[in-house]
Amino acid sequence: MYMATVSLKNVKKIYDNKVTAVHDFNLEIADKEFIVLVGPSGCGKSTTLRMIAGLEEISEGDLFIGGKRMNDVEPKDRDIAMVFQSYALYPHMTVYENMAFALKLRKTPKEEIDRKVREAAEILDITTYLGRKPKALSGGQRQRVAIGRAIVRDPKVFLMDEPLSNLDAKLRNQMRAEIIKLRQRIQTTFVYVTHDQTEAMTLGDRIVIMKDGFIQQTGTPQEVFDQPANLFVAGFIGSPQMNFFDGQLTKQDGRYQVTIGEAAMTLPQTAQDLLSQRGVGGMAVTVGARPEHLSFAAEAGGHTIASRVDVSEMMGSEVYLHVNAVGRDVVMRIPTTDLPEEHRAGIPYGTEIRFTFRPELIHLFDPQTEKNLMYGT
Amino acid sequence: MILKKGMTRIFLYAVEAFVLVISAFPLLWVIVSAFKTNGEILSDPLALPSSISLDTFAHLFDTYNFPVYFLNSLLAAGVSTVVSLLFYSMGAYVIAKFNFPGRRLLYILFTITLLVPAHSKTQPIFSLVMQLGLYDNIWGVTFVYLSMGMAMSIFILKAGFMAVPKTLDEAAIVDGAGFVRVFLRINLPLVKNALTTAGILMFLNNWNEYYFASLLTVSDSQRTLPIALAFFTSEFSYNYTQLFSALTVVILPGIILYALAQEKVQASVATAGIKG
Ligand SMILES: Nc1ncnc2c1ncn2[C@@H]1O[C@H](COP(=O)(O)OP(=O)(O)OP(=O)(O)O)[C@@H](O)[C@H]1O
Ligand SMILES: [Mg+2]
Repeated sequence: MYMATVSLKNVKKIYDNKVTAVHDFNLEIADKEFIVLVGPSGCGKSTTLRMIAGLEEISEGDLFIGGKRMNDVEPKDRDIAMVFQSYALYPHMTVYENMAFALKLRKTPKEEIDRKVREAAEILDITTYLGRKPKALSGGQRQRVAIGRAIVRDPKVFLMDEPLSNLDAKLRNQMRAEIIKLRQRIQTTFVYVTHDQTEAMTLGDRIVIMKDGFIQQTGTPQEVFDQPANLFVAGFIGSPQMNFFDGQLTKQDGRYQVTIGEAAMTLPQTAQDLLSQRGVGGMAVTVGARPEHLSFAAEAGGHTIASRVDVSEMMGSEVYLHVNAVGRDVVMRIPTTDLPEEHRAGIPYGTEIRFTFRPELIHLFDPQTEKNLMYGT
Repeated sequence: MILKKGMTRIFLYAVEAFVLVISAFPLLWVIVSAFKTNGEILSDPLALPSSISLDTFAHLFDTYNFPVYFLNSLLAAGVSTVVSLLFYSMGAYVIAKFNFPGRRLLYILFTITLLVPAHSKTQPIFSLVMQLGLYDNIWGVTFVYLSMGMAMSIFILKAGFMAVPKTLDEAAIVDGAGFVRVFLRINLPLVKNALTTAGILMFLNNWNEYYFASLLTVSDSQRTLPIALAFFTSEFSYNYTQLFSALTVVILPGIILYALAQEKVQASVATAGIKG
């Protein structure tokens, strides 16, 4: 059986108008791995995917699929299938014809085409629409057909460019779950592009976070969440966004301490080891703390910070508390059950509260290089 | 507000009715007159015929080489339209969808032919047809008609191809289609409206063409309808019934053709207007 590995080595894309859309892209995708490329608009995700598909020429570097160099191979000979954001269904063909098109071009016997199309339609629950034209389908149904058109081909590599972004929120969640199921049924390699970090986190075996054509970090969802390589990744992954504070890192008697405003805390042992291994000295730092890692402090002192409430957003099981502290907007995410009784119904504007950090869950970044002082590369 | 809207609407309908009357009335009048006797036409031009008879039409086809003229016209207009559609659609496709050096220049060269009056090309066309040995041959006329609607057709077809999303081409490429299949299987079926429009406009233009047909043919057997009609006009002199029935035979195919494809033509003219 063929191994559908994909490997990009120093891949670069320069468009004719001298725009460098992708710089020095390096990635090894394992057989049957689900890779998600994620990043803000214009960061080069689609360009990268299109280079893998062969729709865009590779300016520099090498692309291998299954160990074979593919730079100069026609898209049709790469054995890839692609799902487009706009679905790109052929409007003049029925759903059946749309799904059969690629197989017909490959001169697949009629019975086999029929079997494959019906099988895929069954999986995607679109059997009843096989005779319809795309125009007569809803967005979600069109999306299924687009996926169906790709899976009938049993491609080695499955490419998807923001396949869910044209769907409404509810349908998107539903289709996301279906893609997870689909992925278990059809064992192939996936490269999936999205700008939605939730999609990236829930779908990817590994996530590649990009910005301005550069890879910021590659890792499992857990890795990029727990050990963001830099400020950008830290801010991009996780919702609500990570909070950032200006702090000071000091080293006394071989022990690292962080001070933010009036709060001072000693870092836990793992952080101590990582920082001293890297020879980090005392310096100004940017401290990152996720909203769910901040909590109410009953009394002053220790590593607590005073703040004033701006807005509290009741989300049901939790509350997003927007507060103002040390001149920054800070968001806290607090389980409703942790709120004091008198605040369950909402915390009024201007209320003075104190919150505290969990020293083992804070992130330290170099404000100059923006890199993670413990995990950055 | 409502009153104003009502007034606007009345005005719009009035304009529409006016346009309809001035464009449709002459056609109707010709067709109706073909069924009247000479006397009826002269005494009461606007009255309906007293009886419907197809005799004059039968007479027309019996007495003159009408079937030959008809077939000649069909051949010259039909073959030239089909062949030029094939070539123009290929040209328009490449101009619409591919970026290559000289693309704009090529498009300008194609469309600039709009500015050159056809008659100014008489001399070169005449020598060319002579040298090809196609003088006084309906194929020579067909040959000349091939290039007649170029600028307009390329303009219409280019707009049509540009309205076909590029991702459809890409999806087909990933699906395994090469250049020819992307053109034939994806793009061409999706510009049906533009093809119909360009086709009808070219067909009607060539169906009614007089100048080159008269220049390049002499024998009766090579005549097209408009040429034949010119001969009738002198021959029938005061037989208006004959004249109008001949006219009816000439204009009716165009009207029918247009009526059949009217929706497509409208849709295509709309996209050409927006995206041209
Ligand atoms: N055909 C092109 N010619 C020139 N520049 C291009 C072309 N396509 C994309 N670019 C540029 O390359 C950069 C990356 O574009 P790309 O489409 O890969 O971004 P993306 O990450 O997919 O963004 P989005 O989330 O908006 O789809 C952008 O700056 C874009 O303007
Ligand atoms: Mg994109």
